Amino acid sequence: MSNMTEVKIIFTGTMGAGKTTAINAISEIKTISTEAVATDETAQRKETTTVGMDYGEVTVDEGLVLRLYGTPGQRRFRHMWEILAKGALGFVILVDNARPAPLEDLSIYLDNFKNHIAASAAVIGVTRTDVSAQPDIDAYYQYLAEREEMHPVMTVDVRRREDVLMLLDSLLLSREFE
Amino acid sequence: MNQPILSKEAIALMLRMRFLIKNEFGELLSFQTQEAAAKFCEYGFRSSQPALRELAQLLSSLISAPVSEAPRPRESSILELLASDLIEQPVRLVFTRIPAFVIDKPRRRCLLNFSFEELLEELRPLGTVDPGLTRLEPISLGELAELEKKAISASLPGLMWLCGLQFSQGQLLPKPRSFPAFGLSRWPDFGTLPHAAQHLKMATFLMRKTASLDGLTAGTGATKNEAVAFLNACFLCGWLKRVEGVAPPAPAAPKSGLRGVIGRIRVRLGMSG
Repeated sequence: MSNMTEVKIIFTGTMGAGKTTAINAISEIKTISTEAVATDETAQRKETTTVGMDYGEVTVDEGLVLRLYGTPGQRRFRHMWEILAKGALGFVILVDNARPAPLEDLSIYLDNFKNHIAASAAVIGVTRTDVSAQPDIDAYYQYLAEREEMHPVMTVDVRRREDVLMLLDSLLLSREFE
Repeated sequence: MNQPILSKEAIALMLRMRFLIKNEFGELLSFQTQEAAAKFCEYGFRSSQPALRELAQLLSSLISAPVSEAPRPRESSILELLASDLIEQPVRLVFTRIPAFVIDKPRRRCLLNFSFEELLEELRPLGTVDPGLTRLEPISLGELAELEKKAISASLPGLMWLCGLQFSQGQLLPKPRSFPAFGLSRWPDFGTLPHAAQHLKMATFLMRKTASLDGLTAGTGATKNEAVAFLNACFLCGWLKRVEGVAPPAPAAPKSGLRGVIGRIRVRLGMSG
């Protein structure tokens, strides 16, 4: 019988924000993705989009494995979100700053995972700030303050492993110091 | 105290200056007294507007009180200068020892005639010594617009952050030194600010708890110098909060349960700073 302990971290956020890429940057196995040809607005930026979930993992030591799940970005797959979120150690919310209303995008994920985040922690990674600098990080904090929530918000390029590690570290430290 | 009565000419000059001062310095001065006239002159001499300087000269000649140019600020280090309220409005800082540069705090930027890296190198020797600031020149919006076309714009939080981290030398700035305990209003954007793992740890600690300097070092394993530099950097960027009541240093909790799991993940991913 295995004595392996499992913990999971959820990567969520808008379509094309980089969830699959972020998991790929950390996972020690090739990320398993359930992708389909994009036929909606995603198709303007990506040839494929995640329709089920992404999965990656890191074997921490002999007794512990870290599972990394990426949620499908499209809201029509929202039923999957709840299944994936149960028991998560924390949430990495990726927001594509080049989309028309990034703060509204963020609110979708904060609202949908509200109870799970309240029981764990979340970190917000803002991507594609090179394409659109607004809203800036101050605006994100202002928005969180209006919601009476406080999570780390950081500019990231999820193609860079150190940026993804920075997000994970702030998430883990948030749990450590709770 | 009786104030000498101002002449009609002096009051007329002050009326003309009043709105120019408000436009440039955001302050609508009263103009009833000799003391007020001296204040008008002080603003006028500091102004970038030739018309206002000229009016200040005329007013100065009409009032009996000696009026000097804007007093040279006496800050004991570049950090104290950056922390002072002397730079709340756009100003050009003119030094004896390094090239002048502009700080535009409302727009969170500095405007330079040289690179940001060169500025840091120039500032480095001034970390804890008198920076030799000779004067502060207020910058009008018009001049700012001109400067934007030719100067290099750099992030002011970036400058503040790096100055705090690099120039603190174990000394908290005077204002945070008076704080009984500390908290943070937000995480620094570590995606854009140079940092070490310890900074992320201290930031998260102070976002989740409040602590004195000793509490911060005990809770995060940071050295006193690291903690001081971090606190100064956060203070300069406007993210450090004063917290009343000193929380006793938290004893290190045993790494069991969730904390143990988190510790193992952090070690595995190379985060154990």
